[in-house]
Amino acid sequence: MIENMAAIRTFGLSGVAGFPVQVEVFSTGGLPGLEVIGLPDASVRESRERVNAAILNSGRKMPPRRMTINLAPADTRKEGPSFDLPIAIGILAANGELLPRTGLNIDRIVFFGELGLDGRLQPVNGALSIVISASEQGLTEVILPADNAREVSCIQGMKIYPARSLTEVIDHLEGKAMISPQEQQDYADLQLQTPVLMDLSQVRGQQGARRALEVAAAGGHNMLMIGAPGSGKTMMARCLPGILPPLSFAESLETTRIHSIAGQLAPGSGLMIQRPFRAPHHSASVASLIGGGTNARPGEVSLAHNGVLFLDELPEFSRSALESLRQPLEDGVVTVSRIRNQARYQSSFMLIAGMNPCPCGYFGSRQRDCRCSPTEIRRYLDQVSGPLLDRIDLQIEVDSVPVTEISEAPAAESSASVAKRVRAARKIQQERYRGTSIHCNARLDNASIDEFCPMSTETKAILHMAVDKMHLSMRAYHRIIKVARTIADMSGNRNIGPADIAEAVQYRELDQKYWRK
Amino acid sequence: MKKATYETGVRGEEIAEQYLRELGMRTMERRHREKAGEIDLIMEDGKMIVFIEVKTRFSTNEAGEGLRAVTPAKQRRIAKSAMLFLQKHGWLNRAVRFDVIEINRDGITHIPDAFQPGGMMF
Repeated sequence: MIENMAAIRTFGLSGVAGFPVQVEVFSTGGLPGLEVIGLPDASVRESRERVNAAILNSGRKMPPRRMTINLAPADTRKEGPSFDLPIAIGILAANGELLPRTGLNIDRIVFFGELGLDGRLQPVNGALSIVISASEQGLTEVILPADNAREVSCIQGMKIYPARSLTEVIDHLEGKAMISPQEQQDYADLQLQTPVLMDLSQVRGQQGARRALEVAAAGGHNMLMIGAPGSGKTMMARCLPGILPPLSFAESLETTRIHSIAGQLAPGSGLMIQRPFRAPHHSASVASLIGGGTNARPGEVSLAHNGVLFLDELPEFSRSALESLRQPLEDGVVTVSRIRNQARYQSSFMLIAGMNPCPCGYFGSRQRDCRCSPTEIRRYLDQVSGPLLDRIDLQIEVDSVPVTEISEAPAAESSASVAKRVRAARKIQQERYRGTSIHCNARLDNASIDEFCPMSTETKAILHMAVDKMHLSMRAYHRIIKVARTIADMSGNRNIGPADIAEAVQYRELDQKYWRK
Repeated sequence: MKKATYETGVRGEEIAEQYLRELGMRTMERRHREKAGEIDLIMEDGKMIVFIEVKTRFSTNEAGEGLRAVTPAKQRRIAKSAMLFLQKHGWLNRAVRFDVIEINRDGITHIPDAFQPGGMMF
């Protein structure tokens, strides 16, 4: 290495991916000062002041020299405070203020972390992505903020050194006090602690809705619930993560990365073991749903990746927000384009929507009379467009359960036992779709429906009769077959029978009742 | 300004002038006053006019203490005064340079061409 020079490895973030960055520090005579170049954004440029204070408060000297800090590659924008630690280490190394212990190759270590003025190391967003990228580059040693350590502790083959302060990092590098590496965790062990937040045993009555929820979970289908206020739509939706199969390791990595980038992980938390349940308010903008902002941050559809996106009061969402859901619903990915950044985020989620049947909420209710005029109802329902409705496989009515029925009803089946059946149905699907990119019935493409959904002529006849009578679109036709496939899987049948079709058709009847009057 | 502080400054400037003379520079002016501010030393290094800011810190031997006090704002002030000085003498096309000298208990740190005022000034 050239004297007065140091190069430290770190990573920047672009969307969900990390890219390698070299922090080069060049120290010369002249008026003391620090200049950061290489397309830093404001938060990176501010790191000058944090690094300065942190070095002084760690009992080291800020060398009275002119220092140029280059973040290479110089043509990619760098953002965020995670460059603080590599810059501080680079400054100390370039000026001979840091003497790495013999045998230590500082070039092979990845550094990242935000520095407090007192020299403490603060957690940063996107730690998981950085460590995954480092591992892909063949780097195995990482020094990071202690609060980020659990998040990355499941990555195989990495030596993770969690540090609480700049002093700890310096002492570690100089060999004065070694940091003990983070113990590697097995994802399977993590999963043992899965807490189920809302349990189906708390849902009394609602046999029809419970069945539909189970079908939705078993096949990964989207679902719409229409019902009066207080009929339990939200409660039902919240039960869904508890009956879905547990996140696989790969799925957990995907989802945790997105949450990590978005800064949605609590400091010190590990990989996500629970499927995400996102319930944005109906005032949500297109950018907050799809992703956006100057840096193309992930939106709700991506935060719900591998989990559930629950939209309550569906017609209250803005038309543009609802229409923007069509691409992610269809493709499972969104591309967020901004002036400075473009990012692709995965967004494969189950859409669960809830709505009232009319503005006052009591149209068709046994409890109360509806006060809305037909025009009002029509206008309300029309907020939900046909193409969006078409993409929802299951539509059900949820009726309020009378209080007397609730208090007298015996405890209902628990989430755990429903989850067992769901897992069995998913297993059948996994085996059937082995070797394809499909992972559940809802993701079947039209081309492979014939191959995977065999039906007898009698069954087909029933389906065709229903389609004819209900004037269903081609897309709806395919969706019925997919739902029927799931129902058949739930009872372990290889072929789809007439009963399966009949039940699937029944989940399609609502757009007749409400939207095609 | 406290009298002692002023005297410290003058002592430092004398040491600096002595040092630069030994390097072969000739004194043009000491403590040149302009409305924009004072220039500690103006000297000639061959044909080049050198404006020198002297920072004296007898209280410390911590290197860089004085140097860091020459902030960008201070640099702009010195440049402005230099500009007025050059205008007065009709020397606007002569080569100039800005040096900073730090004097502390450990000795003298001389930074030739310490900063280059950019933009509209030069």
